[in-house]
Amino acid sequence: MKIDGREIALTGGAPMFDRPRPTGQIHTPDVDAFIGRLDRVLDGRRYSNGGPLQEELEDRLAAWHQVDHVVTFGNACFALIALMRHLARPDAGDILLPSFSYRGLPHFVQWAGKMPRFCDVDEATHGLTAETAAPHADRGDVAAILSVNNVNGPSDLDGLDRLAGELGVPLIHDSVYAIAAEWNGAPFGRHGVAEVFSLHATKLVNGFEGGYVTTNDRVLAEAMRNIRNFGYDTASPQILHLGMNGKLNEIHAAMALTSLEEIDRALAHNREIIAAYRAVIGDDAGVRIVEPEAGMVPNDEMVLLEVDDDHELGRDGFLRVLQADGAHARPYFDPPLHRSKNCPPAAAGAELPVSDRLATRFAQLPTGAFVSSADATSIAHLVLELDRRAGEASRAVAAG
Amino acid sequence: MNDPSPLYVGQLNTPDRDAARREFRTIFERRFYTNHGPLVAEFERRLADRLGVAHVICMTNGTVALMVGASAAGLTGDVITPAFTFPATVQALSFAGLNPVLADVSPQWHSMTPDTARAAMASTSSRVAAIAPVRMWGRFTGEEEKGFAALANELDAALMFDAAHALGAGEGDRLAGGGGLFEVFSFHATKVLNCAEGGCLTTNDDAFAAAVRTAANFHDRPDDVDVPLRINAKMSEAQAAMGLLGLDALESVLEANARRYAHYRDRLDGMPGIRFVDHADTLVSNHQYVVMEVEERFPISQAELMQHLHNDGIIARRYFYPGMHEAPPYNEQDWNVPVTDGLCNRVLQLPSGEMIANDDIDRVCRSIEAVATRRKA
Repeated sequence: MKIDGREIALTGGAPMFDRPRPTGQIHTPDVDAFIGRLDRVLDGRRYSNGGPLQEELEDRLAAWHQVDHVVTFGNACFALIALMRHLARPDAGDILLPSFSYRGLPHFVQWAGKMPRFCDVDEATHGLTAETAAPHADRGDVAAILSVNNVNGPSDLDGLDRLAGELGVPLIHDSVYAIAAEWNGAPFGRHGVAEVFSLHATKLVNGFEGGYVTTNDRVLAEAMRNIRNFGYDTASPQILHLGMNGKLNEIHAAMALTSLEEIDRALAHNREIIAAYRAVIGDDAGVRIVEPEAGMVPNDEMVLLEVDDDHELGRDGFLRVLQADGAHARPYFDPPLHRSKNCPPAAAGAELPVSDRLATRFAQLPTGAFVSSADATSIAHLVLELDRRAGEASRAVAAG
Repeated sequence: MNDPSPLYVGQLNTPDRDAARREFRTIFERRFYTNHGPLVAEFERRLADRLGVAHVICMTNGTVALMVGASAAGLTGDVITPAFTFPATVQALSFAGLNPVLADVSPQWHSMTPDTARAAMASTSSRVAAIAPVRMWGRFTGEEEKGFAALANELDAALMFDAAHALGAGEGDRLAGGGGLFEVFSFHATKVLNCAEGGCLTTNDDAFAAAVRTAANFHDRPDDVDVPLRINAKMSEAQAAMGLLGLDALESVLEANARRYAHYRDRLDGMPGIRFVDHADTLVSNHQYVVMEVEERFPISQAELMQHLHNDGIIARRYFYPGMHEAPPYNEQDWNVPVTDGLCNRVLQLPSGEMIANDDIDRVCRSIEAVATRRKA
């Protein structure tokens, strides 16, 4: 199949990209600035355990999020496990969470000693709402709510607060996808009892690996500082909690600080990429780039292609063609967690029609530092042509 | 004395600055920061070679390595583990869903032995699913390992070693790393091999290694197997870069540690009331820790000696304090661990690592000598 005079790779042509274009951010900060900080780590021999760079990073992140407390962790997964382990009600067994989300979530819940109870999500925000979560609380035994704020919009922040209050359980937000985004004029970070963000290399602030908790609760912040360091009190040799090694090391903190200084450049790059996609892929086709909710200033960390349910080529068809051409587009939260191998047998069996439908509908398109505007334009043209010639494309996919 | 700089415990072995800059610049050239990068793969290969084990799986830290290993072993029930250990050992087993049963330790070696493990079984009526000894202060003996293997076999329990202290430790040409189902090591900055934070799991069991590799991240990879629980335990390329630089220097670090340790012993051996844990006689030690007991007959207590040393700028540490039987949630139960109780109030760890020169050791010893001749109050 030829598109713009070029045989697509699926049907034997040379790939559009010889080096694959990924979906992760993978920004490289100023190397000399990082090396300067690395020198400080080596010269001071402070590598972990509450070093000066971790403290500086926590201060800067707190200012950036406009919250009182930031507690860094070795990664976002440890932060969520520590929060749920500490906050979830000991007298109840299950944590409510969305099914249309990241595959790690049900595992985090189990590391925290609880079982996941999957809920459906809102068709537009793809997040939990009071209405989608409440029916799953009817049989009781709810220990906490784990909500996810997505790249295109937040979950039902106020409604979930109310529901958590009614149930007498903590509301924890996984806001990994909402880093650097704003909602109603303010950054994320102050919702629920705490929010969690990631410093993984594929996210906007690259700390190699890393994560952090934001909260305005002083007592909770102190408990998180204890728990990430084996439960030790920060002021005495006493152990106060069941703890873990959740510490962020100083070299990762050095990287995250350097990356945070350049966040505007990363955000501008993301805006440029998504604008290049949108300039080609309009609204009237059978596919579109997902728009943020009104009130959301997005981070544009992901470019989500929505493919109509009855599209002749279908989401998976697009993925096949794009991947063959070196544009490493990926399915987005597919399969939904309640139907995946990440679902523990005891949590299976829920009927969640919105999650089922959404899971087959989205592709994450390449973006981040490895993708240029020209790349995005080329990929967008390919997507648009595949949409226009969907019948021919679907026969090519079936044959290939 | 005019305000000398403080002396700390912990290895804090630091690579050459230019070599570190070069290694990190290669990471930025590759733009490969984490998720199964080339430096982690090289670090794992070189560790496997150094330790003589089939599989090394590097992770965020040693605690997480123990969490992942204990979970991937698919166990439920009781695990026998010592009360006298760093909190990581017991807490990791709890996170993995096991129920720790705390055993006392040998007064001579400070470690759980097959006999103290057996004695601890009196505290439990349920099934013992696992035994998790600690290679305390890096002590490894083939005889003890055989004893644990026999006990595990008799109970049909899994055997896993916390070898956080024991990188490079062994007996003859056998090194820690191949014992039981798996062992875990720490590469925290205070250990002989410094990844800032870091650790690994070692095993000779191919199927178990595949389970651990699957459990330690959330990616779809061709060699994945079914595991009950996964976690992000990935070591980054930055940590692996530090580890590779540390491996280059490891043999000279071990030699220098042995020299420092010998110097301490030359100065303090024979001092009434001071007892060293001598695990280096016929064994290979990494001399990571300089550990001594402040006995009852010493003029002042361990806590007082620690304060005295701190006043002289010598930041000696009580290891381990408190014992895990006194830490929540384990203190909800009464444990019969008298040796552990005694050790928590007797053991001191003295400054070590590459920042400590012979002059510094002399300073530490003078400070101890200054109180050793006092009359007991």
